[in-house]
Parts: sequence; structure tokens; C-alpha cells
Amino acid sequence: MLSSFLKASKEIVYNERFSLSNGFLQSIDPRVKVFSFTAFILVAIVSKSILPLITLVTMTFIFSIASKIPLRFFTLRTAFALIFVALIALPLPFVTPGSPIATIGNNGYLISITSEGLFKALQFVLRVWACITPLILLTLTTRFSSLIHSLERFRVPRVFTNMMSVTYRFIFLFIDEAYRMILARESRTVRGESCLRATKALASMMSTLFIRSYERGERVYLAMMARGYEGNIRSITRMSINGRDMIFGFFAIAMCMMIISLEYLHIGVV
Amino acid sequence: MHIPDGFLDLSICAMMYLLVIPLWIFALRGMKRVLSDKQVPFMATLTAMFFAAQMMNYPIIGGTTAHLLGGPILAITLGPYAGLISMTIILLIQAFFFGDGGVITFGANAWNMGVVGVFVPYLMFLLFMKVMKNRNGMMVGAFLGALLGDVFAAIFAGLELGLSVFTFPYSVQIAITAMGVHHFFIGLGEGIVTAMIILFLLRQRADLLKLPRVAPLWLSSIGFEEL
Repeated sequence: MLSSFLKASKEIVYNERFSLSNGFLQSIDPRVKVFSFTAFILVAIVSKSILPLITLVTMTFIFSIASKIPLRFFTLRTAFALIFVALIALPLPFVTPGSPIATIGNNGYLISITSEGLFKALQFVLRVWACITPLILLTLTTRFSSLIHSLERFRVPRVFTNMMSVTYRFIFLFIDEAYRMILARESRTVRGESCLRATKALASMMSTLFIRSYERGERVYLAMMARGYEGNIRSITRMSINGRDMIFGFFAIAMCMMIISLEYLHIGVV
Repeated sequence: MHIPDGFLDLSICAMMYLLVIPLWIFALRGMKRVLSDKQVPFMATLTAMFFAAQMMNYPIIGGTTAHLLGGPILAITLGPYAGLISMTIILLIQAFFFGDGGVITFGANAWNMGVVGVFVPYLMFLLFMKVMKNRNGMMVGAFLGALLGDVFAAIFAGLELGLSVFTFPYSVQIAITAMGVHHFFIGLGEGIVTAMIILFLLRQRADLLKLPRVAPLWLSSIGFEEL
């Protein structure tokens, strides 16, 4: 249980570290990035053949290198999510009807791997990969506050963006608090304990955490009021779209159109 | 249960957005009615706490572990509309910063976990409070509510996946069975933990169960007099 907390804080630290370095994508306006990356994901969802999907994945990897994200880290990060996807796709080569390319087993109990099934599995895994890499790249190269700011510009209601920015701030605190509570408990526990007792302890920890966060919430609210909070969080960063951002946006749109035409004009072989 | 991008068809994603957007609007109006704009930081700290709580795992049958969704306890303590908003924030942060879920599938995830996973537990809780009118009613309501909330959310997820004939390679029956059975066991854990949290809160700080609840008008007047 402890490791999941450590993993979470490590991930956030990584996120912030890369978003502060001076790579290519870090210098692009967040609004343009959100727009173009959403377009990439949309294209990946409607793509059926392998070639456009591979193009999309390759492109995001090139972007990640240009943005000074270590290749190994980026690959591991995106591939980690794929393990689960690959598990889902695993039965596909066996259950899809089609022309068999390999057969296992003997008399009557034959399991055959079909080429149609293999294609389907490959297509599924590649599509999900092409969909998740842009999102991961977006968050790795964009600071949280500027992402929130650009969401605001996309007319996401203020209540959401305000709540999101305050929530994000307090997540670290509560992760720390929960981590300490669990660490303290585990160091007091000598032997493996019954399922019921573990559940009971978890529930009491959660209710304690709930009470503490309620009280902290009240204090934070009063403290913010005392400092002149009036229901709105103002940002001093001004975002401006310059020539570079425009070029990136146009490039993204052109890329998307090209991939769609690859897909629907059947230029690609597979 | 977080569905990543690439699993659902565009048409399904669009439909789920259309379903959930009106509820967001109602929920925001409800928030304005019950809480003032200024209480946003207060809601936000509670949301952050549930975010952290989602990382605590509980053991389920078969030696595996699952984590809380938090929807039921949010619905019972803050009301379903506030629960929907909190879950939406949690899902947004998870989608953007932890790679759980996606942008295009966000409407679907918000519907499954934010609407179904919050309203079903709330309604079950109200029902048992009405019928049994005592602490046992609360416990049973919280347990069954959390269990059914999880199962229904999973069934919806399975339905969305199964109906995505273009992107998802398995049929509706397989998707619903896989999701439903899996989340029945997760829901058992969630139900037990939720009921226990309600019990602990009743013993330690019963006033926290009497906070103003952000609920639809036709629901907000009933149910909690017995506390």
C-alpha cells in the first residue's frame, strides 16, 4: 500500500520537473498544445489501419525527444499503461475467426492463432498507445497552473478550475498525511492480520482523515477569506500566442489531415 | 474503471458528454444554491482528501486489492451534486496528471463514476433511512448503496465498451459480465468500508453527517430528519 503513495508523489515530481525544463513543447502556448493534442487523440480513435497509428506514435516520440524528456523514461511511462491493454487484447488472436497461421494442441482440442485476430490485437494495442501518448506528453510538458489557465480559456466553468487548482495544492498534503498514518500503523503491526481487522483499521483511518480534512478545509476557507478572497482566483500569467505557436498549430492540423487521408484514401498498404 | 482514450467510439463518447453536461449544469446551480462561491476552497480540500483516500487499498477476495472510488461516502456526506462535482475534479486530475482515464472518454468516466457511482448510493441510502429509520438502516443503506453503485457503474462502463463496435474488440455480453463480476467483489469491499466510515463518523463526529447536502430540490427535503 505504501508503494502506491510513493509512486504517486514520484510521478508528480517528475511531471513538474520536465515541465520546467526548456524543451520544445514547453515553449508552446498551452492552449495550442491542448488543442493539437486533442486533435491527435481524435485522429487516433478514428484510425483503423496500422500505418497512421504508427505515424502518430512516432510523432509523439519525436516531440518527446525534442522536449528533452529521456526516451527511456517516456517509453516506460507509456508502456506501463499498455500492459493492461495488452492483457485485454491477449485472447484476441485465439478467438477471432479467420485463416489460421499456427495451431496448438491435438485431436479435437485445437487452438489456432488467426492472422485476423493478430491484426485486431495489434490494432487495438497500437490505437490505445497512440491515444495515451499525446495526453502523457501534454502533462509532462505543461505546468499545472498554465494547464488550468488554458482550460479556463476553453470556457470550462470557473468553479471547476478554481476547485481544481486548490485541490491540486492539497493533494500532496493529504497524500503525505495518509502516508504517515499508514506508515505508523504498519510499523505497529507485528504479524499478518485478518482481513476484517485490516478493513476496520482502514475505515477508521479514512474517517480520521475525513474529519481532519474537514477541519482543515474550514481553516483554509477562513484564512483565505481573511486575506481578501472573493470567490475568484486571479492569475498574473498572461498567455500570448506567437508565430511559433501558430506554426505548431498549423503543423498539427496538417498532420491530422494527412493521417486521415492516409486512412480513408487507402494510400497506406495495411 | 477509468476508461482510457482509444477504448470507446467517438459516437459513444459524444453521447456520454451529452448525458453528463446537463447534470454538471444542475450540479453547479445546486452548489450555488446551498454553498456560496466562496466555499470552493472548503470543498476543494475535501476533494483532495478523497483523492488521497483513493490510494488506500483494501484486500478483496482472491488476494488482490482494490481501492475506494469514494463516490458513496461523498454522496452521503455532501450530497449527490457536490459528490458529482468532487468526482469530476478527481477524474480531471487523474486523467491529466496520472494517466488514468482520457480526454475524449472523460464524459463517459464522469457519467459512470460521478453520476451513477454517486446517485445510486445516495438513493439507496435515502431509501433505507426512510424504511428503517435507525442506525442499522444507515449501515445497510451505506453498504448496499456502495455495492450497487459500484456494480451499476461497472455495468455502464461495460455497456459503453461493448457498444463501441469500432474500437473495442469484444461484445457487449463479455464486457458487461467481465466488468460487473469484477466490480461486484470490489463493491463488497467498498460497501463494507463505507458502512464502517459512517459508523465511525456517527461515533466520533455525528455533526459531520448533518452538513448541508447539495442535492436536487425534490430530494433535498427528505430523508435525514432521523439522524
